[in-house]
Order: sequence, then structure tokens, then C-alpha cells
Amino acid sequence: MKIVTTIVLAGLMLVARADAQAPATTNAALRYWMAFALMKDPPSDQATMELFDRVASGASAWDEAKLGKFVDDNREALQIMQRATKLPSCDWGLEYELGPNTPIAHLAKARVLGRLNGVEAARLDARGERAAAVDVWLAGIRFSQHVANGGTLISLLSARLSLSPALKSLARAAPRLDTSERQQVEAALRAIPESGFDWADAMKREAEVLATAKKRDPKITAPMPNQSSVDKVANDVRAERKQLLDALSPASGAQRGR
Amino acid sequence: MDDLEAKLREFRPRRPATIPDERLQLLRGPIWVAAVAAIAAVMLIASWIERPRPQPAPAATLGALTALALESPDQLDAALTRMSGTLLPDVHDALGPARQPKESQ
Repeated sequence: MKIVTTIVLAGLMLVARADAQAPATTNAALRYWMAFALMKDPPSDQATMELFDRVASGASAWDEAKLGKFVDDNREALQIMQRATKLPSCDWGLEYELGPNTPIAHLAKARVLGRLNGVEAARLDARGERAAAVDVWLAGIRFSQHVANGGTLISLLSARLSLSPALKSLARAAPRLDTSERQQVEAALRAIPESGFDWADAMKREAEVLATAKKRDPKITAPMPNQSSVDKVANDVRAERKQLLDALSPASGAQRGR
Repeated sequence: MDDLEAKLREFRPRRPATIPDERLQLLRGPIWVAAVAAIAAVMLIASWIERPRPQPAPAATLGALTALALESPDQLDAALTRMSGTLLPDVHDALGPARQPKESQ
């Protein structure tokens, strides 16, 4: 009887301990804010930004002397961000009822962190750590989807600034990827819309936000984005995604083999 | 006598040299330094006025950033980047003294 009681009590204690543990969050936005708080912004002058962007999109070679320090300084923030991209949801909790006054400070931080992620991938690739580089590029793609999630047009335009360099760099690296890496990249690409994001949904939300804000304050005026301009950006992203898919296709590999 | 006259005619009238003013001599150096400094200051101010200054970052709001993206799409990226540096204090700097013992280990 004593043994049975002990076993039951031990079982209850284990159950109680499991209950006491806080449930892991599924909202990536919370983790991203933690990464933003730890992020050390690199200089924002035009020359530095252009160098970052050229390297992130694979247009220029990795420059350890000029960029290495910034990646090292942001290692922790980048790791938090890259882990968070694997979470299933991302709710930024935006107060759209405020209309044009809705704070969207996360987009600025996300832009800089996305850029740092791109240059980290370039560094890994330059060091020959291709599998790790692919992981970081794919994290960049997932991050862009999270940044855009539930957003209006500005969220998608900002997210696109992180998505495009990852697509371009992967397209450049595609000939060097092995079968497993190609499959990984292709799966990630199939998981996102053809034009990168759901632009129609963002435009709908844009109109809804404006309508709600006007109900609260009829004096509010804000221009609605021009549909043809939005279509042009969406088509550009569609072309970048297609270019990467083409670069990954076996036919493309056969052509290279000739 | 003729010799003496000829000798005296060799002399020509000449303006006497100015009597050296020691106070003016002392001031000559500082006057030049002040003049050069004034010219340099004028040039510096002129170049500062003509220098293109970075655009102020727009407010981090839906209305301000959407307007920027629609009116000047080329400037959105730079504006977001500049804005990022002003949004959160750098925790590493804020915790600087507390981190020092750990770093020295």
C-alpha cells in the first residue's frame, strides 16, 4: 500500500511540474521584438547600406573587413530571429483602429535585421558553409512572410526588401546546391505565394483600415495605393521567385551539365 | 672746392625710413592668425550650409510610412534604416558597466 501511495504521489508531482511550466509561445512576433531589442544597428549611411544590400543579394563578394564586425555584434539577435521564423504564427498586434496613426515601428527594425540576416548568409557561403548559408537564407524568406503577416501594403513593401535579396542570392547559389538543399529551397518557395505575398489581401486591409479610421474621424484623408504600382512590385517578386525555381529545376541542372 | 661740390651733388633726397613701432610689430603675428582663422571660419560655415543634410526620418506610423512608400518608393529603405537606429535604446550600451566584469573574465 505504501509503495502504491508513493508511486501515485510521484506521478501527481510530475504532472504538477509539467503544468507549472509556461507554455512555449507560438507567436514569433514576441521573439522578434526580443531580437530587435538586442540588435545593434550598423551605420545607416548610404555607402554602408549599399554595400550591405549588394552583399546580401549576392551582387558583391563578402567583405569580412567591412562587414564581419556587424554580423558578430548581432549574433544573438540573429539567432533569436532565425529560431523564431520556425514558429507557426506571427501576430504583431497592430492597432489598426488608429488608422494612419497606427504605430508600425517593427517594420524599421525588421528591415535592418533582415539585412543583417542576408549578409550573415553571404558570409557563411563565402566560408564554404553552404548548408548553414541555405538555412539562413530560408530563415530570411520565412522572416519576410512573418513581417508581412496581417499587414497593409507598407508591411509587404518592407518585407519585400528582405525577401528579394534572399531569392536572388539563392538563385546565384542554386548551381552549387546538392539535391537535399534544392528540395529544401523548393519546399520553402512552394510555401509562399507566387508573387511573394498576398498583395490583394493587403490592399483589402488597406481599404478597411482607412474606412474604419474615417468612421472614427471623417476628416482623415490618406491616399489609396495605385493598383498598377502594386501589381508591378508583385510581378517583380513573382519573376524573382520564378527565376529561383528555374535555377533549381533539373532541366536547369542538365543544361549546366552540357 | 669743385671736388667738394661734385661730391655734395652725388647726394639725392630720400624719404626717411619709418620709425619702427614695437607695439605694431608685436601685433603683426596675431593679426595674420586672426585673419586666416576668420577666412577658414567663413569657408567652413559656407560648406556646412551647402552640405546636403540627411532627410529627417518620418514618423513610425502607418500613414507616414505608407505616404513615403507611395510618393518616394526609393526612399523607403533608407528611411526605415535610419528610423531603426532611433527606436530602441542600445541595451549593450545601457548595460555597459554591468557587462564589464563578465567581459574581463
